[in-house]
Amino acid sequence: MREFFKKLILIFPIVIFFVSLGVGSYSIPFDQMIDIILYKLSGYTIFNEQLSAQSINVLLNIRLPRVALGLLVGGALAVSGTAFQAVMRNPLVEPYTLGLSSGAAFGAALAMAVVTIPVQICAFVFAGLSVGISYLAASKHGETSVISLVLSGVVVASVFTAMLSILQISIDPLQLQGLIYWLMGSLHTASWAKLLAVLPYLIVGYTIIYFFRWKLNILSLGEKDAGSLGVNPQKYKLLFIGAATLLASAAVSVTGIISLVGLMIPHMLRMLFGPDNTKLIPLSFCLGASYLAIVDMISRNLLTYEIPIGIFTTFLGAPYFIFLIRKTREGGWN
Amino acid sequence: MIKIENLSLGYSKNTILEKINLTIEKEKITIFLGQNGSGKTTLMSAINGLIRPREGKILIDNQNITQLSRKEVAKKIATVSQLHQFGFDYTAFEMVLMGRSAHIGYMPEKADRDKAEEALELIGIGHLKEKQVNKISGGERQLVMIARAIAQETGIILLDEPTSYLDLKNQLKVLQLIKFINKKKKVTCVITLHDPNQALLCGDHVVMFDQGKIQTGETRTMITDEKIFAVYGVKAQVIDVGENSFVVPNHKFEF
Repeated sequence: MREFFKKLILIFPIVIFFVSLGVGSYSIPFDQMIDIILYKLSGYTIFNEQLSAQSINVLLNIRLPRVALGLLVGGALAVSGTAFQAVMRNPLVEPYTLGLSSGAAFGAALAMAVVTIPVQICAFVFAGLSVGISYLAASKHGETSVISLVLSGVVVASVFTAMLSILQISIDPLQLQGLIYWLMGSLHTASWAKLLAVLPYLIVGYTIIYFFRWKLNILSLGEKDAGSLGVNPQKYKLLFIGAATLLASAAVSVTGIISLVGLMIPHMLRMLFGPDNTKLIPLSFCLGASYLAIVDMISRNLLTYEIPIGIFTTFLGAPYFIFLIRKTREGGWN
Repeated sequence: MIKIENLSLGYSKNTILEKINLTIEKEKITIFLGQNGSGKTTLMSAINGLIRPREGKILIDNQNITQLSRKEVAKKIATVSQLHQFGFDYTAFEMVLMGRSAHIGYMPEKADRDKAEEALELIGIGHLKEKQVNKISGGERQLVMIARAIAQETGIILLDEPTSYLDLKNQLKVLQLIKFINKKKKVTCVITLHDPNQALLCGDHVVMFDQGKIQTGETRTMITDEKIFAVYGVKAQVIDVGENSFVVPNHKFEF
């Protein structure tokens, strides 16, 4: 049964990808969708002799980059959460609870509004800063307690949110409107340009975590055990925190703050398949990608206007977070 | 062989051990005895390269431990730490497989899985393979951790209070298992213990820790009425019954 679910989760993003491409205020039938993609790739069609220019435009220029970006960002946030939880030995941490999302959002907004350096780099710098402060503030003699890390994350997030507010009141009103909508977490501005801008960062972050995922298991036992088992804990912690920060900050830089995906997805997978990160990392990517693509589909089809996906993920993730806080009081967490 | 030369250890301003010299013989069981805070675990951590000496050196097979990488140390020394619960609930097999870490590049291979299975079978806990380590008994968990050390395939195993928190039956089971590994796999075992009776049961040599200094010798010659009093401040009698010896405290409670 577990193997069946595993295979299901692994092929789920492909199914969701095609469903998401078809569903929307302008619906595109499956046969047309296949023909448009085939026509773009080879110049031939199978089912339709003629394709409308509007269908081609909606599918290739609006929906395809949006769905692809949604899948990539969902996967990135889930993988980032899984890696942070293993490295920090804490099931409650993820980009949002660590304050990383707020740091990255401030960095990205700063780059958009004031500075002329690339948005992703600025987001990464401030995301790294926020994770570093949260982690160091919660550490005592090399140990961090589960709750103190979450609390320091709350404080760091508040500071960066305040800095973001200062930025908001100092930019022009037109820029402000776009910034506020972007901060709520949304895919409505997705484009090929954004997708291509963020893709290298996502590939680098995911590749590092995927190839070294076995080491995540060792780090999750704690620094002393990891050292005794032959893994340099400082070196690998830095590597994983860097890669997870890169993934999450790149995601935030194009979609704004999408909270608690990195909390829910790893925990659901651990309940089904156990804590082995060699399985969890690819599964997290696939389930996180599917989850965000589904949420995006709902957000653009539920009402006549689009609801930012960050609102949905927060509503779904918040009860889960409370459930997890209660659960971590049991078991081997300190 | 572990050779310790002129070694001083400490944390911040506190000196724990000062200029000690010690040779731990190959393929023998050496027990560290002493009061809480006397430096047993600190020395063990230093042997494992987790604490840097203030001065002096620790040689493992004539190589200075501070000049070896974490991976090189893990190929020579395995550690069984004090019994504790783990955050993430790995299965016994996953936990033992992690003992292969120093031999693994990116991902474990079939040979590593086979070694982990062998280690579980060797100590008779193959049936626990799929059980989660936080959900088995303390005694079984300690056996899993010993299996992990065996899977690591090192010449030296350090065991930090392996019998703490265990009932009498499981204490004896763990000590017997250590003796078995020592004989069967010809592994050098270094164990910190609280109970001198357990040292008498399984130790070849004893190192007594007292106020930053150490004394060492064969087990029975080291565990005497006088030395127990000197190290623990407890009046006790060491009684020989057949092949076995026992430490019996001569202590009356006063109210």
